[in-house]
Amino acid sequence: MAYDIVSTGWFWFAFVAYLILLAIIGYISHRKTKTIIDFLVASRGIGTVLMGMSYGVTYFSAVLLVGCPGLTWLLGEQWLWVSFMNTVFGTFVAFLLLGNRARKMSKKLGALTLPELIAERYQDDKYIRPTAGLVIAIFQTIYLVSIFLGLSTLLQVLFPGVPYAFQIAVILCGAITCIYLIIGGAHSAIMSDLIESIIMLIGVLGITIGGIIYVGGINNLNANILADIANNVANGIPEPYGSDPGAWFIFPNIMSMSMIGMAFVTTFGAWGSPQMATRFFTSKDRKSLRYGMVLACIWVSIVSFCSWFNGAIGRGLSPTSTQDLLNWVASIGGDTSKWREYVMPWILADQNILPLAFTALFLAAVTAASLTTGEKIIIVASSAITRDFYQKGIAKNKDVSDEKTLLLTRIAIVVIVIIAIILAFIRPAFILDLCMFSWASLNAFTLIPFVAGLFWKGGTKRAAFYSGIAAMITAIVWFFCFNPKLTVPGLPLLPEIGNIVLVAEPIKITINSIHEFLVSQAVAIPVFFIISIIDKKKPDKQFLDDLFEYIKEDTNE
Amino acid sequence: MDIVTLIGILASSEAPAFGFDISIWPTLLGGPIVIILAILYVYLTEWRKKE
Repeated sequence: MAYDIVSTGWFWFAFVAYLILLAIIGYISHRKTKTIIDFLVASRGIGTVLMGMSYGVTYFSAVLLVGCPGLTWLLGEQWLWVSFMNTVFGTFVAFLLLGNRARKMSKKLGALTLPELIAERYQDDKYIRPTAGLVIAIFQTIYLVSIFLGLSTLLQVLFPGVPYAFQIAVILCGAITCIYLIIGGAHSAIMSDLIESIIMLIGVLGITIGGIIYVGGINNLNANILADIANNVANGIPEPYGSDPGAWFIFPNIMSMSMIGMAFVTTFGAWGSPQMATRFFTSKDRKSLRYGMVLACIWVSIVSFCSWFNGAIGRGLSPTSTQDLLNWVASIGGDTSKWREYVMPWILADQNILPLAFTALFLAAVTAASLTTGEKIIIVASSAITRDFYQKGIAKNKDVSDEKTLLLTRIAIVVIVIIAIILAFIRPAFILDLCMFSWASLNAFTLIPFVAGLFWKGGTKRAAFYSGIAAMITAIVWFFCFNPKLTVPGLPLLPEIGNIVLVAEPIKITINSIHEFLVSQAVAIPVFFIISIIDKKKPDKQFLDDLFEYIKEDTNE
Repeated sequence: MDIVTLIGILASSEAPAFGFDISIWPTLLGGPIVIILAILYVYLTEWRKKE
């Protein structure tokens, strides 16, 4: 018997409690937000707890809780390697290598945004900042659309058959986020991250532990998964491991290429992500960053592992779980071709593995947290257009004040949210396609100039600019030419370029299995270093010596 | 169960009986190892310095 979640008082209690907390946070943040530094980098005063939790939640938004489990369900436990890569390299190594250097460099150069840091580092006053600003504003707005669309699955489960539930929720979501960010800026965003992080931690752990107890242990879970694969084969449901069910538990296997691509993109792509980089800018001092790193490692390792593993939990709940899930999606009027998005809601709402009160509290909290999960993206997009493209870009000779830029940033927040809402409503096909790779192409632009700029004095502004452009164009061309869903008639595609034989069946490497982000970086790295070496216009030596001496100093300031 | 027997089981075909194939085990251990390394790093760079 499925839970009727929204009719319980617990659901509305949690939902309203979250909104009240947001209002309180908004009020506190408003009192702390006077200047553009307060608004964009939270006065560079974020301490240990907020630093660690905010990094984790920026890495894994609440919407990902819905997206992760479906891939493990379909393609096997090997997806836990994504969690491993995200924890080890995406969090621990990122803090070690980039954290303190990025924090100190942004402070020394007075940079409030990633394009500003890159432009100041390479002493560019013409091209990098406005171009990066424009790129970030466009792709972050598109990324925001995908977050709004991600809400639709949760709402369909909670309010089946209610007309305009999605439209009302998206408008509500946009309005709350606008008000909340306009009054409190980065302070609001980071403080709400703390609540969101606690909700996510309790929720995913609850599903993992509750699921294992529900089925009676890991052995029963695995037996059910094997039985489900056999059941799918018998009933004609597409099953990648139909001929070798044991491969579901093994890495590597024939489906490993997509996982490897995802692991690298979500790990190293995050290093160049503007919202991740600016987490470091907000840190109060070295100590907060290092202690925050421990918290971030704990949070990311638990949440990412459980999020991916919950796909295995879902699949192992019964010997016919795939068929049960498909029947349930059809029963609530959902799109069965997108069944993977329904795994987490199905576990909670239909399988009753946890008490009703917990389920209602968690689903309400995840829905509420999803409403504000796009807040850092909105800040990055609005500051990119006002600070980088306008104030320090096309209007740099007009000496626009920080006060005016702050006002314009607040206006830009409203405009960007309205554009994203309109796009989420009309859902033009090309926007949906762009959503799939907006994150990757944006990070492709910034990754090499940012990371190389922290460590190597030899990079030039031409190299930074052209490597960014080359990476972005490569990512776009690769995606649109080699994406199987967007096959261009007449274009000669190579469906398979080789095999790696590591297990009984070879891993097939196809053109479209290589992620556009990886290809873009394979182009960007040589472009950056070759141009830097042959470029005769070298950066100012004294400036770089002073800058690198400052960021290498092991002081707590 | 002693550690040698445990490693033997993990490296053998019996490993799935523990819930994960040997090829997946490092993903479970990766988190705790990273947490220990992070704490060790903070200890060496911040706590010990303070003393």
